Amino acid sequence: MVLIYASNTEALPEIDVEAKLKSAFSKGWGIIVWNDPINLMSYVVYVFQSVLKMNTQDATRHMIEVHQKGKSLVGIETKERAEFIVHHLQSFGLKATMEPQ
Amino acid sequence: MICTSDGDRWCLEFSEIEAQLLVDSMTELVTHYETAFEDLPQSVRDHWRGKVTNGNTTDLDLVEEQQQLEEERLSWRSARLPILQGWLSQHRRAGAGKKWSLLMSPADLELFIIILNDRRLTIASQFIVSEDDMDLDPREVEDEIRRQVLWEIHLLGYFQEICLVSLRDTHNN
Repeated sequence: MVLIYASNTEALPEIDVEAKLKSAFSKGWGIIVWNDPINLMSYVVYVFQSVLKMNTQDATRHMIEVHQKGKSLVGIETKERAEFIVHHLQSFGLKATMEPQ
Repeated sequence: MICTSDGDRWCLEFSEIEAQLLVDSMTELVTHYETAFEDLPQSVRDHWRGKVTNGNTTDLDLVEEQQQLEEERLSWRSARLPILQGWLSQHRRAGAGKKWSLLMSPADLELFIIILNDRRLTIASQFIVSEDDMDLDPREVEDEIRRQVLWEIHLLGYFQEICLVSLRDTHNN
């Protein structure tokens, strides 16, 4: 078998595969919920319970933290899972983002 | 407004005046959902685009995630439109100026609360309603349009609150 190498092969961009995999599978992404003036406190508690499966006590504690400190870290997940949860929280109208930890 | 459950279905009952106020508000939301994205005010477009991160998407390698979020968020308006239109057509069949009852599944009740929130969030985005505005007594707001905006946000919040209390009470019992 003869292998023919193309002499004019375009150089592929260098991708740090290891870093990509590490980023995708490590629980290094925080899910942050930010304060906003419109969402009701009771609604935020309801969404935390519905989406994040928090009990009433934890959901209320995080809601108060959002209200008083402007934001709350409600979970740390893999990149993919954090993205899914951020989408779900936003579908309820909450201001949620994902940030590297 | 009264919100009750028989176990399988939820019943929302509105007085004549509540029904009219809600229908007026939801009719505006239908118009909003139907409006082409590019025709919305910039602040409302920003609201519907959303942000996947508070940081820089390029620095955090989240460009693709931001695009996916925007695509999903932009699909919510068209997905929620027929549901809202269905509720409004029920109101038309019931007859304007009368009490109104809506029967819905638990999943639809959650969607009802989300759709009320859509209206609250979109008018707040359009009229740049701040935390200080929300603390005002709407009766003391001189500008008529802002006064109406605040009334509407609070009224829809009141409807949301009744649903949420009913959901909590049912869950606890």
